[in-house]
Amino acid sequence: MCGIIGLFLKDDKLNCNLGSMLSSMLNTMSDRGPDSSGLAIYNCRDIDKIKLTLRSENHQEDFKEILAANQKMNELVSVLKKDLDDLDNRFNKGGRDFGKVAIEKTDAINRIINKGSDNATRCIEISSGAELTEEERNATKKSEINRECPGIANPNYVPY
Amino acid sequence: MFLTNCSGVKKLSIFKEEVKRQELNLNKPNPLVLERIKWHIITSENAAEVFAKLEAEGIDPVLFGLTDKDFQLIAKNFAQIRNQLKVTNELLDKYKEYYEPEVDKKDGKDGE
Repeated sequence: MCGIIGLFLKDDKLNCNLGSMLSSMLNTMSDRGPDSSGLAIYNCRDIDKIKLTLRSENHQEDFKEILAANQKMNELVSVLKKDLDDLDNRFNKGGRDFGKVAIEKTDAINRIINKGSDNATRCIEISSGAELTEEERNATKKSEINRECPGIANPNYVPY
Repeated sequence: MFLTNCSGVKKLSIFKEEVKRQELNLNKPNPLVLERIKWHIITSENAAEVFAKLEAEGIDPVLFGLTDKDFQLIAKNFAQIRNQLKVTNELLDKYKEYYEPEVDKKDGKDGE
């Protein structure tokens, strides 16, 4: 988020006060751009443009928490994409038709979708803030995990 | 009858003291506890058997159906809903950590 202030000085008598006026303007802006600050002065003389850019030496430190929070949000976006791709893969693996498989192996698919539905319901509970159970926390094998959302339900599971 | 009250104007003392803003301290919503639902797969071959089973179990022999394609879509919708919940909860946590880091310090953590 940035702030911008402009000053159009029409009275030549105030030229010698330009510095103090600008410094108070910059002070006012200090909360709006702690990372860097730019200053440009335009007039009609030979040197018609001056631009200064100021930057904090430790701006990375200032923004550490913000960067970490953004990284977490980006991770969650990646998790969604991975979950959707995983669903596609499971329903249509190798170009198979899920509907036809359900006709051929009705009982098996019935069990699979009910298990998947229970898992998906549990994923929503966890996403809403429910504590993980010991079983979920300790799951490390593929047979033990919640396949709908291992990223949030099984923190100790490492996919290979 | 007239009543009058007068007072002298005392000299005001003007001082500045930063008063910390009160923390919002709203409780996070309780985690959801959801009902588990049962899915039935009906094909042209097993339809009579499925309805007979429902009747035998005392359940009304009526089903609300989805095609296999729509079932896949509803699975994806669920994935999006749970991700949105997770993102929203994380956002709340991050805002609280960022603007109210003292809460962590009170708990004996370093507030990072």
